[in-house]
Amino acid sequence: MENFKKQIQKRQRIFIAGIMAAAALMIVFSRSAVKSSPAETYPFYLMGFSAGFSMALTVRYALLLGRYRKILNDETELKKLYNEENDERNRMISEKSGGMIVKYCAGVIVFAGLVSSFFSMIVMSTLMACAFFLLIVRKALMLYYSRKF
Amino acid sequence: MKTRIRELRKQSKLSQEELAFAVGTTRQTITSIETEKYTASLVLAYKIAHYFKLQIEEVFDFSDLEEKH
Repeated sequence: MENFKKQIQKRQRIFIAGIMAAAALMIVFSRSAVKSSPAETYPFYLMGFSAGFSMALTVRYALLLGRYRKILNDETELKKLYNEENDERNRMISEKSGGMIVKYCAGVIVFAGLVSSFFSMIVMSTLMACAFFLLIVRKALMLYYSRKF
Repeated sequence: MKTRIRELRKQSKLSQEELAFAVGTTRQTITSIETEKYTASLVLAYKIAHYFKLQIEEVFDFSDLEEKH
């Protein structure tokens, strides 16, 4: 359990870095959104979308950070989380639904989409749709296998 | 695979949540094993049997497998 505790603390550090990065992105996109107008090169709503997305990421990381902080102070909750993450059925369902590779791919595609929002709306929307589709398929498969097993 | 987990739980007045916590799994997994949707791994089967202080074959019914061979 000590190793798991260290793993959670490591995750907390990653989330703090994630919050800082997402907050920085949010500021960059918000400033671009304020400066740009529909007549300029970068559409206003595109920057607004990216800023909103970064804000959602910041909030998500902050919530996860709070959850882990609470769990670290409660041994029962810590063991429950350990059981949940190492449960053989959950692992099997996750692997059958594409495993971590789908999550990583979707993450990289979303990041590429955010960067491409500076250059092309078509590329950005295609990449976002692609990532969304990947995550929807994964969720649908997870739901299917959760009912099956 | 048929099991006696539900029966043993009832005898011990144990909830699925409590059993899951004790053997290091989730309530959903215990439910799936009890409803014969999921077959536990050897390690989990051992942990469950060990928890009730029984042998694996006293908790899990292997008669279907024996009929096939």
